Amino acid sequence: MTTQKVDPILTAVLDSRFNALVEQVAGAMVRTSMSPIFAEARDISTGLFDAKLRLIAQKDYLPILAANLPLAIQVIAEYWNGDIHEGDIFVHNDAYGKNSHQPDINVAKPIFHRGKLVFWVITKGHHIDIGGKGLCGYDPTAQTCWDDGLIIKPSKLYVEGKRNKSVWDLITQNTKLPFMVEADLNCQVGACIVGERGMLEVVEKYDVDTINACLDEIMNHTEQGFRDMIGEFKDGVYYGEKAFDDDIVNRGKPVTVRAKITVKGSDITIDLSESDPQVPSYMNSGWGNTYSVAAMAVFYFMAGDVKRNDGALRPIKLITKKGTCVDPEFPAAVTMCTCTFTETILEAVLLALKDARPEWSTAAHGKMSLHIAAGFNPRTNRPFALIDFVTCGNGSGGTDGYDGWPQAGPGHCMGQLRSPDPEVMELCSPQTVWRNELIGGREGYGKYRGGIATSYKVEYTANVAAVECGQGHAPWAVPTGIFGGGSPPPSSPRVIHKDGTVTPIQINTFWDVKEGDIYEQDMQGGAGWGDPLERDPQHVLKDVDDEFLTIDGARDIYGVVIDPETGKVDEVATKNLRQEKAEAAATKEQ
Amino acid sequence: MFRIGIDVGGTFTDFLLIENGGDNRVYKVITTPENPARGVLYGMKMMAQELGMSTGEFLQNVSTIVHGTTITTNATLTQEGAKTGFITTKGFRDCLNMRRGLREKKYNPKQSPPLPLVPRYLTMVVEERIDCDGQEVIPLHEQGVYEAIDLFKKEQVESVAVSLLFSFFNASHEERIGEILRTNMPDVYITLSSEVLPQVRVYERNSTTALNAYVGPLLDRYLKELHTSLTREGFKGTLLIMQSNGGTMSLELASKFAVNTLLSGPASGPTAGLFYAEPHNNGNIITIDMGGTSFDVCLIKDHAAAVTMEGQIGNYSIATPMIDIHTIGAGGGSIAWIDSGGMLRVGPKSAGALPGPICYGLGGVDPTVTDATLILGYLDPEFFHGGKLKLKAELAHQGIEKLGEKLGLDKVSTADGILKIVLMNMADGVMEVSVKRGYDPREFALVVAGGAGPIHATAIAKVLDIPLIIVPRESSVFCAAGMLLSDLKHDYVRTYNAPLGEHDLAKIKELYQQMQYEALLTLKSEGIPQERVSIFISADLRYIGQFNDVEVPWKGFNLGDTVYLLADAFHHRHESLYGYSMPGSSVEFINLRLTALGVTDKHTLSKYPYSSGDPSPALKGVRAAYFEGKFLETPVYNGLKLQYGNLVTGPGIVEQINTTIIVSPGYRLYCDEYNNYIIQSESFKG
Repeated sequence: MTTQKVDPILTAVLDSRFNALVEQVAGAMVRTSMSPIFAEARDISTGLFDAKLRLIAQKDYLPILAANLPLAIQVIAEYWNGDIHEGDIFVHNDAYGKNSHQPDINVAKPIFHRGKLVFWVITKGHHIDIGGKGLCGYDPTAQTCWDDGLIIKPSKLYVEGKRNKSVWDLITQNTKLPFMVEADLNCQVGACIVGERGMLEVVEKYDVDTINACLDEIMNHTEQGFRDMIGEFKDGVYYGEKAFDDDIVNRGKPVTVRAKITVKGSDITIDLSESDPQVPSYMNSGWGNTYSVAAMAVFYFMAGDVKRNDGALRPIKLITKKGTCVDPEFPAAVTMCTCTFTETILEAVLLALKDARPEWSTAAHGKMSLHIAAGFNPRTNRPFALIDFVTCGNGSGGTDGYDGWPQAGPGHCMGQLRSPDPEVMELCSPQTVWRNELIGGREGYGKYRGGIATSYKVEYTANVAAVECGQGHAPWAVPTGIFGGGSPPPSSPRVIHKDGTVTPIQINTFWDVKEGDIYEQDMQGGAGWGDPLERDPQHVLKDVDDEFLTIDGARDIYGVVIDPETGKVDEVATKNLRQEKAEAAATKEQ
Repeated sequence: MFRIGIDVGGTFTDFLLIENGGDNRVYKVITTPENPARGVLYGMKMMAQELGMSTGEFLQNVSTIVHGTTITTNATLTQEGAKTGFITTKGFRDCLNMRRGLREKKYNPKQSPPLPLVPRYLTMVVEERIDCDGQEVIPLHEQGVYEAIDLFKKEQVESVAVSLLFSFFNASHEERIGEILRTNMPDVYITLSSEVLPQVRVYERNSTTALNAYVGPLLDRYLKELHTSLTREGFKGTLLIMQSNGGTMSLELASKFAVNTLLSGPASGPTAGLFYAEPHNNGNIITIDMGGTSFDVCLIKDHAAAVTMEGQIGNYSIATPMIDIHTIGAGGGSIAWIDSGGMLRVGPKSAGALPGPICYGLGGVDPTVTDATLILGYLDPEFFHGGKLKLKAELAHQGIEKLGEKLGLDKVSTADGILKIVLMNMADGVMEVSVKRGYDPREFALVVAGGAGPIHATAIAKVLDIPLIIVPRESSVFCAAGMLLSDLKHDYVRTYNAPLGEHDLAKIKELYQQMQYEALLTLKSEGIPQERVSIFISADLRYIGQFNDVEVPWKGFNLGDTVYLLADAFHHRHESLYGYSMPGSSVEFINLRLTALGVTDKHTLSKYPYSSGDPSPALKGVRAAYFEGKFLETPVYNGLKLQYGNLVTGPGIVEQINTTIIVSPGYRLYCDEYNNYIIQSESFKG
């Protein structure tokens, strides 16, 4: 034990050092991966833990992975308790072992110093394939987690520094793209080593006790800051619910998540136990993912940037009921948990908490209808697999004082998913991208409108397999505008064949792409915040100038009259029209 | 013959004049923001006068001027660049402004995207397409170009940027659009992406191209005017412009590649820092440069400043190489104000040169950092700017007093509070480049520069516990000094994609030769003979299937013999950067790079003989200065009289024209054998 007083400068230095290091570890993954999912979209997260398995720092490129690492590391450490040695490297993807979903593979390395386990480094990334018959892990016909893909209970990729060939072979040979899965596992192992080197440098310089004393300080400080912020919420019990399209087996029948949230002092309890029962498809969310979303939803209300270490998670409590879609019984399938389910749980919580802190409330992002394709690319003479993240080009929701952002992605991405570069995509996949630009009219209107949507058109130059995953085709699934704001229209992706015929694509189905087929989707914009009739007329005019809105639209939706000759707002006519509209709305309400 | 480094900052224009590679002279004039060339010429006249020459006679004897300018930086930060039109491939109208969908602070919904450089209504698309093999798929529909021109004329745009898909493989459509634009809009500044950055990735290329267009016309006008005025006065030498990559370039290139000057002002700082730190055998330094408007910080590890190809300025991406410098709005002119919550704040707004701080007496009414330092006794009102600008202390007192009333504080506590806040901002800036990137600032020496830097240096060092501070005697014109130490430097890149082993050596040689030819020609036009050119080549490699690459230097020009050593170097570097390598896997080429240096003459540090530890011969007086809650009678020394070995124990003040060094209690300053100042904490052993 050290009796030394904690040095505030050293604490700040270490705190920043750890944050820089997780970023460096993530950087190593992004820069060396062979999969566009890691390298271009950055669907990964990395973290450092102390020997007590407390989260020190994390780089959560995708926020949905934010609170999941602490669960994964606990499972690994408990599973191998007593048999963890220097040089071991673990792998784990079991959704019923508190992982998110099976394509997200965790690779973790215990860090030893002078023979003693002092820290852990962990990396998680969405792999390009995980076996099963799905594409990139997505199989809408899956009914169990075995259909979802290969299940890896915590296993050793390296045993005391020696590559455990049988585990590598067992994993890679049960995927459809063994060389890519192997390369990306290598990339995760390398990233862990980058983290280990960095931590050992720190340990060499300062002793472990000093570091741990600083860590206590950092985490307590974060917890306190978090609790102060929750103190700003109005105490009370709040309700919110949201549904997505259906469970696939029963088309057209919505599945609903119900949130009851209790805010008391500096604690938040999120009770999801009244949600619908589990469903017979991949549309379930395991506890590990549900917990991660619940925490992330609270982060939305935290007025800016929050540190996300162990301290931040302490005030948040989650209650679920076994057998519901947010905490299913083994062996229900769960692959869509990180997308559709995350969006839906998130929106239910956002809708509930909006009244606890209206000034920091946000309308939800547009919902994602995800295009995935895989096959062989004759141009590069190599197989390819593509989760097409351009189809995550949703707008974010409006909030008090600010419009949503264009192309910020669906709710689980929060503007962190780096949209793929069209040139890089054409160099890797048998595609010609014809359009990737903004399109007005697909955002929720409001005093602060939703983010503008993206329009996408891509032609295939080879026959490949595809699947469309997600939600937002049904009217009840689109994000709900709040405080008087509007919702965007449902999505309707389609395929245009060589002969000019058009086929709509049903959500959560496989389909075959023929050479020359064109996939087209106008993504969903974000939902609006506040009454459109209160929108600043100059902001309405700007949308008209930018060709996101027509002059007719400005009049009908926003009550703003623009003179087509001068291109200016007619202030008097606008005032009258808005008054008229407000009165008509009031009469209608009575 | 003379060589002159000129650094036009937001507040002052700095000059370092070097005569025949030896004697240094430092000059400073107030920047003339409406036309910076005027301040430059004024400085020239002043130098000539002091040397007892006519301006013409003096300028005829100037062989080289190296010039750093903040004109493009300021235009970008204040969004006062040229009205710019943008032409791109149909279907990709918003790539520039969508910024790949990134929202940097994810948990803060209350933010707006940065204002676009080019608004949507000035972004035009044309029907055309080159595919990913560089083949034409859809010919250029010229009609669209003419439509764009009609709009641009009607909207009176001053500058047009063109960036088409895959133009780095086949620039023919871009070049044709360039031709049409030049014919139809001869007065408009034109930027083609294939000239500025012929490299894959749409957003990054678009952004770099748009920035070039946005700042190009301003820089072009300014440089033309400057050159004309200098020539008119008799200058016949070489005028070079400082670039963001730490090297210099000719006027013509600067006008064309304006985007490479976005860090022109501060980019020579690291070179200067290393030069002055060298005698102390220290390749690990942090340079801080505080002028009137901004505070620039750069971390240099193992003699190399970090270079980034993922740079940003005011939230706009730049993919050309630049020195990694962090800037915050904290300078002598930073304005102290009270926010809506009643909290005292300082900066980022600056009173600049005009009206300047209140104490300048030029009409300024907002209290600034300089006003606060005057009240605390750190500045001598009679000796500011070498006595050329008499400070009006009573005005500063009134201004700060008025601010203090709103806070319920007396003027001294208010002035002290202003300095504490600006200090915290600066310390955060240093943390940003050190701690936040994983370096412990205590392991670096602080090299301090700028007119206002040495006043705050010991205070910053104290907060961060940095043991060693170096203040060069020319610290007030630090970057101007660095400019004279910089070589001409040009970076070239060609995208070449082929697996190693299946590569076409003849093609690779051809591409390098193209770049080398271009480099030699460029350097020749800049007056550099071939024997003074150093060429460095490298290749960006990756494992086949990876999305990012690693730059590996290619040693030796016998490319055929060394190509396999290149693969070994790649595996090795991959392992050290990323923790693993795959020696059995295939490697491919992505880009070939060439950097050419045109080595210029440089001055060296002169040595002076040892005097003694006693500084008293340099003592010029005593004044009350504020340290830790009270005014202390503090000895003031004339810096120019301090000699090798002289030791000043804090509290103490060392004054030179344009520089005031505050030595806080607990610190000691000594003059080293090169007449530079070394400051250490008294507890420092080493």
